[in-house]
Amino acid sequence: MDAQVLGVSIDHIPCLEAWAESLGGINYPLMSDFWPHGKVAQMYGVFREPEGKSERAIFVIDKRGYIRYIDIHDIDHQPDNDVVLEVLRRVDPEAALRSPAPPPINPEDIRLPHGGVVMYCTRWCPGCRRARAWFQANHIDYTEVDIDVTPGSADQVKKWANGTRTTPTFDIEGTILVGFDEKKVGEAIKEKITK
Amino acid sequence: MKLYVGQAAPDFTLPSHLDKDIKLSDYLGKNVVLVFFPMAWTPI
Repeated sequence: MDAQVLGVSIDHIPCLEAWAESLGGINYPLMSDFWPHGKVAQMYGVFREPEGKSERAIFVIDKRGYIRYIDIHDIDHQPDNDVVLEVLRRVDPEAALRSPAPPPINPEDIRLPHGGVVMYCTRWCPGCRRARAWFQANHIDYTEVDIDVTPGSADQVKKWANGTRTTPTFDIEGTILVGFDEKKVGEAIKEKITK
Repeated sequence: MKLYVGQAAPDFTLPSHLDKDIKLSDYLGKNVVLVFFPMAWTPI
């Protein structure tokens, strides 16, 4: 799609480097808006003054340098990549022709695991990391589904989680729990599995 | 400064974690997805 992603936050470079490494490397630039503090965020009207950090916002800028889309997103939720891809296709139909969208997934081809404890997660989500540690500490077997990778899994989570890609989300023998609450997960496991 | 769709995106130069400075106008000719995130170690 002839597009370049540029990330920016108020973190300073060593912090961004450490974070990128913890995620297994990020191949697009993460820019540091640290000094002067939040200057670029202010230029773009997305600096949250009292907290000293920026909004979670996406700007799509076309090839001539014009802003074509602005999403000042709910700061607690991850924006949907599919939405941004759609915007890019609309903004640059020529590039869209050169990189056609993948065919929609045939619902019959979607194979999501069922049975036991299934955790829908991502590589980077801190809640998922806590859940993994908790499962290990309690010797609980579980199956992971990476919603960034497994076809149909992100849509499944959106159906369960009010249209958002909230992780971790659990499917414990049919009991769906959105977000990691030790108590609730423990109870569901006791009820559905270890009985 | 609040920005609107249709306006020119303000140019800037910032350091990046890839050991090079990034200037927005260097990317003219490409579509750019500029993603502001509040803080590292949170969902991106």
